[in-house]
Amino acid sequence: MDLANTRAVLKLKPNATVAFSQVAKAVTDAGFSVRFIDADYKPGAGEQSQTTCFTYKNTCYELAKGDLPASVPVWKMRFVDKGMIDPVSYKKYHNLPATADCHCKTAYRFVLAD
Amino acid sequence: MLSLAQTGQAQELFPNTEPASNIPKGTLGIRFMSEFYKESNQLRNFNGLRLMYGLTPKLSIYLTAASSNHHKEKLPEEFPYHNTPERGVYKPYKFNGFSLYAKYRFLTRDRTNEHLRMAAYAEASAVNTAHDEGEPRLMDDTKGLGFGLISTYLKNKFAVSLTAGIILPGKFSGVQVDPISSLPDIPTTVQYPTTINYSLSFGYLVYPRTYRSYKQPNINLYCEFMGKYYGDVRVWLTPYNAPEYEIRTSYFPKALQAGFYVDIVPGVQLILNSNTRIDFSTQLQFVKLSYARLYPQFNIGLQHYLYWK
Repeated sequence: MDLANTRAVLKLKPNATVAFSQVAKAVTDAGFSVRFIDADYKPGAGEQSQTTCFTYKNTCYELAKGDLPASVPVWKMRFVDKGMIDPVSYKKYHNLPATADCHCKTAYRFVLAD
Repeated sequence: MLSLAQTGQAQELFPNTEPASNIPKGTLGIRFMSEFYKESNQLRNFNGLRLMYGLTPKLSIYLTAASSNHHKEKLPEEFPYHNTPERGVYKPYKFNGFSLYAKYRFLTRDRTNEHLRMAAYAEASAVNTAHDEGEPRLMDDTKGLGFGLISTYLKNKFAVSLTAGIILPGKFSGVQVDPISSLPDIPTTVQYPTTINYSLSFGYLVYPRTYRSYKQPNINLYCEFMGKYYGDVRVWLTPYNAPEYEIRTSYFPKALQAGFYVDIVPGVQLILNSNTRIDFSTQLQFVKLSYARLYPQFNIGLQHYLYWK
């Protein structure tokens, strides 16, 4: 935990399943607000059926804007669902049309972080 | 790997007033509060034990049990004309009752190392004591209801909070000793006045200069301004063999007449392991004075949170 900048880094075990919405909920339950949640993802670890969407461990991840790059080793994702990003940024991405539908019960929208 | 960023707060944990922030959901907090001041040859002491619970991230509730040696079982002899407030006499230390408090945060504007939050609160008290001053206090002196708003702004190491509320006290029905010893006690009813309470609190984090670990102790300095604006007390007496009658306010001593004051309360706070909190503050006269205490009054607070997984 970087307390000076109020940033936390969670290192996951290989093949671990993480519910990002629960991570955000834990922060707000504690009385804080989430500024952003970023995740590093190695393409190919899950299934990618479309250029804007992939599935990993029965969860869909939909790119809110643009296409998923084909030739980078790691996708740096920033989640843009409500409660997982600051309200101003959420409003910016909220009204973007759906780009894909990977047909999962649980789905997250994200953009590629700078 | 995933990283997340959150807003945080520390120096808005004011020793004597509530910030707009809540305690974490599902967390039980325990707070012990003690106040004492010297009154002639008596040491007046109030103690409160508070249980706090975070029902939701935005709603917290508190239950406080209060005890003190501020009141006798009966109102003073010749109340309200004399002995008001009654100074320097022995008053037994006794349990005064329970009060309930709920706080709901309805506005959250969080940014990096900065936030503006607002909350509404409501409180109710079942305390019922022979309180012999006009100024009501739901935690220890009178039963009744209270409502108010809290606004707290935090930026980097500095926090400021403004509270404004209203207290609607109930009536106390008791007796006072008749000055003529052969006569029975005089039934007396006291209606304490509707009161506006206000506070402006400042806090500053002086240590550590840079956060590295939750285990680092925190030291915060505070300066709070607290006060009340209250109306006249109303008193009815039913002397022996006479019908009940109300006493004219103009006969009252100042402690029972409308008034206002602002106290200044500087304090220091130590937080250990980001959980255990120790407060010490001194309440001093600033603008006019409160008849509910003598100055200086010393306030101590101890608080700890219990977390369940």
